Amino acid sequence: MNDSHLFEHQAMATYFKLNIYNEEAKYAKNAAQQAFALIDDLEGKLSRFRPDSDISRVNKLKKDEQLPLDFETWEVLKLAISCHIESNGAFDVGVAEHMKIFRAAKEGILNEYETFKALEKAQNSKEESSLFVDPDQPRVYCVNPGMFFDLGGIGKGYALDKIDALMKDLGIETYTLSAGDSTLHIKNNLAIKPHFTYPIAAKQDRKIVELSNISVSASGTFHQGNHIFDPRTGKNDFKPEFDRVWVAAKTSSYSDAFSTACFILSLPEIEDIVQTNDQIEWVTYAIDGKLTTLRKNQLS
Amino acid sequence: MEKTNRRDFLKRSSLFGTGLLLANPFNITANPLKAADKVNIAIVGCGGRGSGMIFSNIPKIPSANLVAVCDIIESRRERAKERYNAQYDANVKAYEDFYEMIEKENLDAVAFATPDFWHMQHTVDALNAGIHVYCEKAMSNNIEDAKKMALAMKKTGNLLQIGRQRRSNDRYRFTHQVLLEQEKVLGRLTHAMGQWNRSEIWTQQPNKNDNIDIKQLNKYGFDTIDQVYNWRNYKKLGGGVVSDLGSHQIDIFNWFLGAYPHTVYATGNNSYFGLEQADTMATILEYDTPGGPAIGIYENISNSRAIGVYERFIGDEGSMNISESTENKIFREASIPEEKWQKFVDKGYIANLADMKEYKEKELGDSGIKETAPQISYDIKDMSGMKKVYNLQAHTAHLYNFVESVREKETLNYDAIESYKSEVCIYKIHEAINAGGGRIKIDPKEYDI
Repeated sequence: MNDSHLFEHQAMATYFKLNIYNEEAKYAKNAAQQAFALIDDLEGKLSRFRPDSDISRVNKLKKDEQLPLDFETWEVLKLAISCHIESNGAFDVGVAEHMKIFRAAKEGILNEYETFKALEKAQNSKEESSLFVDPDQPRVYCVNPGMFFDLGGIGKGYALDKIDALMKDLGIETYTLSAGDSTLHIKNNLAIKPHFTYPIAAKQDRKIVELSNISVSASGTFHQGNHIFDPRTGKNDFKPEFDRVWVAAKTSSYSDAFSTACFILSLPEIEDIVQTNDQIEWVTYAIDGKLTTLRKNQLS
Repeated sequence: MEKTNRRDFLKRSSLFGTGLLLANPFNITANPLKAADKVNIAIVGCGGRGSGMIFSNIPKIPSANLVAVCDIIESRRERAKERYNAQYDANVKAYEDFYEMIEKENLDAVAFATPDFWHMQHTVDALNAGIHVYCEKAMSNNIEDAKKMALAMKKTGNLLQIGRQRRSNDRYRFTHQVLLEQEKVLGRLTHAMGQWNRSEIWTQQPNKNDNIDIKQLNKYGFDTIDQVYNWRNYKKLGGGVVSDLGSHQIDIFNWFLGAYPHTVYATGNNSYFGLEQADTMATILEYDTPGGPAIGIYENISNSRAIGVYERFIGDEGSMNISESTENKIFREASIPEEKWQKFVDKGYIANLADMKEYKEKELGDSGIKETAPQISYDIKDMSGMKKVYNLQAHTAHLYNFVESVREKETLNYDAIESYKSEVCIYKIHEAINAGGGRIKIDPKEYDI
């Protein structure tokens, strides 16, 4: 039996890599097929770029209309709301219209002045809107339209968590799973693999971290440019305090969402989250090329 | 579209943040139907498609009451039962034997997500027992059995809907009814094209906790474990890529063109994966449509996912790309003046994708001299003019249409007779591929039931 079997899949506008340890090759392949089918299925439900997805339908709801949701859409929206509250609004899935405007500006459809005004309009409309996600049944209600969902900041993390449940069903105990290298989900039977090692790097600093049964996500500007705007203001003129932020959490949904949020939060706000949020294990940030790690009871 | 009582809602709701709510502000009656008004339905087959019906489709259909699931693999049916009962506080039962289930349960309807070779017998027996049937495509893996199914529907008067879900997809229905038939946006249709590209043909195997006894499964027509999990790859059990994938898209050719092909040319082979069924195929279909001759061109690739799955319709005034998985794109021929299409925009049927008029500075939509703007293409905007918009994912909408038809609130979008006509040309494509490639003429009488 080979030590590991690596599989790759393109979906959600990125690639997923699944490395399964301590299993027969055929069984690992079978598991990877099921995992990737699950990702495709989730993309079909959660992507705002899929015209038939739940999220596309939610985004088209008119005043006083309601819509039944898939169980998974309901689950991820509830998680998104929790992350929104726990990050004091720094994580927000209600920004699809803003994203559409950025894209139009990039493609030359809107000029700078129009883009600025459009963002103002989208933000006002969002602030006046209200959508109700029923906590008791998979259903959403539109009280006032004007907010449009984009699950880009949590959808991939959520997909990794769903695969975690699938792997448990399949009896697979040790694997690594990454979504576009920005979120990494680690599951390991300690007897087989005590930990996995990964580097995290800043301009003048580099660390090797030992990861065990944890999820880690990163957000930064180095690879994707200044793409993170501040949903609290609806503007993209935010000057990040950090070069990059890594968030380790119990679930990938949380690490994914909070890596986005922490990038625009202040250091005291991040310290408070690390100290009080049960889901968050540690946060590492890079400022001026140097890495600093915050853990519970070990803040800077 | 369901409406809420906004006044009651606002009275008791609490807002937070930018308007996302997670509270229980009032008792919304999401499903006002009484149990007696609901359709008692069972799902047969708890694999990929069956799970989709159980967990994604049924819960969104207020008039459907899932009473039982059935699968010959114990772990699969028990997992489905337990998960559904836990998620929806239900009391669904699980059966191995289909006939025991229809004997014991008071079923109005049954939905089959089973291997093709089982469809005919179960369907005919259910229809004869007074149970309405929803059957996943293909109807069968041979033309004779497909015909028996359509005839059973005709004879019993019970409903038989076949699972080609594009037929209940709002965008496809709108395209057919409003854009093509009513407005003739594309002019005269001359070509239909389609592709289904995927990375590989999966070969599945049991999970560790699937305790399978092949001797037990022999009585259901399977010789090996591989046949149970990968029945699509065997000619005696399924129809391969042409039935599984191509039939969805070629059926849309027939629907949109308003005709069935009089000639098919087809070839294919299993040279890449070496399975019994072809993994690569291509076909050309010749039509005499009400508007004149038209050609259909269809391909299926199983070792490259690039480009994905789409259908493309070409007319003499425009063309359209449509797909279940990606956004629509409608292109106007440069010879057709923009003003001619403006009326479709004004009616709210289509929107210029590069428009964003709501954010433009000038009423004319002129943003001044700036970076190069993208090519003009259009998308479907509002589905106005449609009597019924499901606003549900196509698989859910198709099953919803079936359940509502059982309740006599709708009529079937795609009954077995309509499906049979499309399957005739699918079986002819099979015939040509199995003969090593060829041209087959189809007598119009062959489409009759």
